[in-house]
Amino acid sequence: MHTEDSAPLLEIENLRVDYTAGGQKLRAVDGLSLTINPGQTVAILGESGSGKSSTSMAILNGLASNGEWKADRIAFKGEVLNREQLTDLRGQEITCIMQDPSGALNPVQTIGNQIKRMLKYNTSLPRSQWDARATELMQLVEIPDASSRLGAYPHEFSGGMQQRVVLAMALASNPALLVADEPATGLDVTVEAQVFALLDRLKHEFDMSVLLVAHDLGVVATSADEVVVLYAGKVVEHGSVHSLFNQPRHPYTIGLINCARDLDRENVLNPIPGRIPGLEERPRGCVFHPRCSWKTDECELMDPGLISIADQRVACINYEDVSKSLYQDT
Amino acid sequence: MNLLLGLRRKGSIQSQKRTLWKRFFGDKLVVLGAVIVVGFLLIALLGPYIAPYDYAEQFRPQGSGLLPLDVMSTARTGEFLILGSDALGRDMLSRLIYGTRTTIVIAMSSVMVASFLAIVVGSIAGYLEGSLFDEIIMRIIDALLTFPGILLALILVAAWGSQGIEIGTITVPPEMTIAIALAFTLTPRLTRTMRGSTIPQAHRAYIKAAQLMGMPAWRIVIFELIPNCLTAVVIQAATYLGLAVFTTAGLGFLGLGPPEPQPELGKILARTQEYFLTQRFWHIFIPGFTVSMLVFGFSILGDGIRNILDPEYRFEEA
Repeated sequence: MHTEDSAPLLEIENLRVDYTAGGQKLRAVDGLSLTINPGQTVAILGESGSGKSSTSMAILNGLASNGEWKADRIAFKGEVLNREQLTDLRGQEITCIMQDPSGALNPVQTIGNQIKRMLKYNTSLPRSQWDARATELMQLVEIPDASSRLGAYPHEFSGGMQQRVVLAMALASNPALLVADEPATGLDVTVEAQVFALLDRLKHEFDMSVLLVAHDLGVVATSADEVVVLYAGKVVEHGSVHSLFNQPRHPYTIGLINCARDLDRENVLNPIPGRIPGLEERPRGCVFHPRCSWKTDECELMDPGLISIADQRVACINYEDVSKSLYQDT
Repeated sequence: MNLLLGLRRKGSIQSQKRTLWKRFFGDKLVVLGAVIVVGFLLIALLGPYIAPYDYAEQFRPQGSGLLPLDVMSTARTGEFLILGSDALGRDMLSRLIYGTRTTIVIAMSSVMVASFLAIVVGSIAGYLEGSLFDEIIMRIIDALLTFPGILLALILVAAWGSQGIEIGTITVPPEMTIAIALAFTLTPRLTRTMRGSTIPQAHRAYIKAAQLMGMPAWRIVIFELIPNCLTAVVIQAATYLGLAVFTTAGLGFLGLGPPEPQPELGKILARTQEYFLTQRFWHIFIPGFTVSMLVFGFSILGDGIRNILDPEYRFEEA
């Protein structure tokens, strides 16, 4: 595994993603900074429209044609890169698995060919070893009867099995970083658990880092090391999974955890009032203030920025009051 | 098989194949079309072996005169001509057999050339939708479509001559120049169809996945995109076969077929129409019937293939 003093795998500073729509530029992600250490799983947590997918797509340079992204600094394995150089790492050092596995596979080609294509373009493996390696990859992602299923078409697989195939393709080049954009959305809960267990095992086997994009707290709690909570394009809280779930400091994170399903809790659902603002209606000051029950007058005027407390960072000027009201009893 | 998979993604491949065969043989008209087309293809393929005489050999009728020989008549030299001869005394049956060969070669190669061009250009234009390349290609297609098809082919064949052209050391045979001229008239619509079926596929997740995995663009177009977008263009090409046969014969009829003495169905027809107002008026029905059957066979087979592959597809001749 990694040593503590080795260079971080990926560093992104002050990432901004803009979409041009109707003649105006709308900022979807505003000033996200991210450090992924070797072997670490970093989760980006947020609801729909928070900019979490824009972040992952920016890193993969796969934004929609009306989107563009900028960052103050990009470094991979300690080496400062520009955007094109980062893009060149796609498929080799950085690979990805996407939301809908059935759509991510070419319907008219056998999965064997699709895996071998990855080997052809993203590795230097000689042609004679492609079959063996493809079978090996299929076995790694726990597809039963691997060698005979190389000739099968995607539609002959279930959703969970398709996602395994996509994962096998992503692993073909022994990547250092896997970007997983909601990899289990649309799958059954049991299948979802299997996919994440598999991902966790393979992460160690391949010694790779994972950038996990998710909206599901349970998924993040079980598989991430570090969590970035995004709200309306802004990082509202950032910290280790342990501190974030045990002592959330931002009102939004607290709200998210409160509205998670929990069998022990009396009031089953405790939703955050209001909804996430659209790209064109982002409020001034703190982006969360219209929905916040700890709101003060200052919140409407001042962008809080990220404040560091212990190993956490939180974007709330009233975090002390918030913490006091929640944690003073315990 | 890939093509069929793209269409229907449920059920096993075996049962899909069975369903398609069932639908094919369930449609009597299509089977008739297939029988006619296969028959003509066999005639074209086996031409030199089944033709009783050489297509250029001239026979003289008993007695004197230059009139064509009647059906079931015997030439002065003793040869028996089943379908008689043309005005120059050449055996009609042999000329029809060789003519079928020429017409089918021209028609099929024109559709093949047109489909190939359409698939390549249309898929690139669709993948790069809205780009400069796409804009230029679409405007060229608009310009080509302002000409009526046969007029455009006529102009091109007339310009290139029907003798074939020499490019450096390569001699392009006359059949090929005619086929290419015809392809020009078929390509624009096929390209549009291909572009149209490419655009929705280009926005599918597997294309995005390939891009994110660092696949080069040419690779994505050839191996990811094209195999998923062929259905519509293949259907349209199938329906164009009949049209291509018809246009080939039309060009031949207008004197723009391959040079003498090579037979071509349209040319043979043109030579027989001279007798239409005489007592030999029936003469024209021999090549006329052949051309009609050929066009009919290709047309109903093409339509049938369209109906089988995509019952919802409404093909409109714009």
